Amino acid sequence: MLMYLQGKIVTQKVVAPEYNLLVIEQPAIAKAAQPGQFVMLKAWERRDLVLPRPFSLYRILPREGQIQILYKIRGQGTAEMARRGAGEEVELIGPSGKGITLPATGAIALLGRGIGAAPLMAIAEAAKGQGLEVYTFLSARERSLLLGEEDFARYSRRVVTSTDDGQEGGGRLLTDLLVDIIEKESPSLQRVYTCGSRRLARGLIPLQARYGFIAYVLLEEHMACGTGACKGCVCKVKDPARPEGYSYQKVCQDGAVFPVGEVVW
Amino acid sequence: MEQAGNRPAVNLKGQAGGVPFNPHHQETAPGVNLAVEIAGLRLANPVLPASGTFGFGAEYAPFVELNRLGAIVVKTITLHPTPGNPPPRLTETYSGLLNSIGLQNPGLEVFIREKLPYLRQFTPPLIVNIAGRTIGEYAELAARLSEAAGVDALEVNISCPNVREGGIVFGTVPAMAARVTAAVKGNTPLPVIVKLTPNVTDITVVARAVVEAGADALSLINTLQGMAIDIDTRRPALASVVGGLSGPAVKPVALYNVWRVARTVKVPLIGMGGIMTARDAIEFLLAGATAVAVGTASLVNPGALMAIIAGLEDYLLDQGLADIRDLIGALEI
Repeated sequence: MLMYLQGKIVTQKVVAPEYNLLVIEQPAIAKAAQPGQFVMLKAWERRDLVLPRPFSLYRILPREGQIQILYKIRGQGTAEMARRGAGEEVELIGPSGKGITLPATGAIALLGRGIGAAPLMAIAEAAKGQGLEVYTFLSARERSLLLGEEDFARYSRRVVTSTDDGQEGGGRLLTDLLVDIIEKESPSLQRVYTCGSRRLARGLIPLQARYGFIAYVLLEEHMACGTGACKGCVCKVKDPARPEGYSYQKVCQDGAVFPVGEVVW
Repeated sequence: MEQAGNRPAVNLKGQAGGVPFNPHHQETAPGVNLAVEIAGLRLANPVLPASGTFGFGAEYAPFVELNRLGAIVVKTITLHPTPGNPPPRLTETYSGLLNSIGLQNPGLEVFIREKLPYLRQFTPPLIVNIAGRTIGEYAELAARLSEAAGVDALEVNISCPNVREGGIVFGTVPAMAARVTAAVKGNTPLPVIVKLTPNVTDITVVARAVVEAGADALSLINTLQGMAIDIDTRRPALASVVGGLSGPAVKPVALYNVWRVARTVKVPLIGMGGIMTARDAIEFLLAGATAVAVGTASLVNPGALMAIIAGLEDYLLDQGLADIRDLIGALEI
């Protein structure tokens, strides 16, 4: 059930150039949220910035009554967010979207590019808590922009990194690094989740049949309502029942998690 | 640091929008009348959701008491399923929202089979918004929705800026607007509300044409055509290039159009365009609207409709007024 609630900022800290971590106290959302879900957040009174903005959940802490949002300062909304401090209040709509369903046993892999690492952390934490093996793959332009490496290490059997400048992982594609691990360690890989790069998501499609896993992508799109009403945030999904062969599904309500093989890229 | 962890979550239902929402505020205060009449429909209050921003009602059930609305207005229905436009469909502009959804909807049959049974359980009148690619489609939609139990009025969308066929094409040419209106009127016993576009030289000409063709009420305004460009990619912000602008940015334009049309035709008007608060709604009533519709505000604050209803009542009490109808067209010049 979606809620519209006020949350209180516990802390906000800079974790990398242009990347902040916001900790918000909001017990009802922390209790209800599932990994892969997101919230709509508004942290300003400015009238020129109309809409709340969607943010994935980096960590969901029901016991503490907190949610954590890792975000990139990209536009005016996130710039305003970055100015808020402890004790200030924000408006939240959520938890939105369907979230993910973890396999009962075996291993999962997480492939995150840049800020795409954010929603994967909540998945890693839940998977580890359920006794699954987690393999994490992170990439970014350079080392300082690799996000959450230490946090991921707590929940992962392995964290593999790659940077475009070649300092990490020889700058190789995360899908290639994933194949290396599969070939070398033969984990019982059931599911792969990816976020932050369409190229990575597409790259997972042919690997599914070869290695027997199902891959899901967490999509981003501009949103207005976050509740399924406005039909603004759609993505194109294969739909054999339609004459066009596809239909537009709402990222906010039908996703934001979609099987990579069902999305029309 | 203050420990707020055990504090119960504050439900903001209806709180934003500038007017505090009082959850204990249940029924209209004694002696204060919020009810209005539009085209033979009795509305318990003059506050409606704007078509296209409220889905089919269920999306807002967690935030809004649907039985407290003046009426329920659902997203545009077309005869056949409409896939809608490619993404990106949205971009925010200063104080505004630019959209090009393209009337995505499951079509008439799915609406009647899957959406209408849910909507029938609520007491406010149900207004179904319709759009056709041809005059024949408008007529067929009108006929078939009139046979489906639970529909109380039709809102005829001749003003969508985001579809290639039909839509705004019918709304910008007065003779075409009149033909669509007459076709719908000829195929339904239900009250017919025609939704007008501001993207014309003179909205009063179209207003007069559709009223002469039988429109029982008018809704205005639909969105204003606009565009935005990403200068880094040199591409339009919307995949469809052009979209419709809504939100607080358009309110002065909407108010002006409502005021002009109110002085031109005798039928009741549903005013809309950038209404975020009860104060905004009151401006539209003063300009001559009998009811108001709230769109973009619900996307920002899903409880906005409730807040605006409560705010209207508070305004009446503060002003010592007994009847909201005393505000309609009460602008003093």
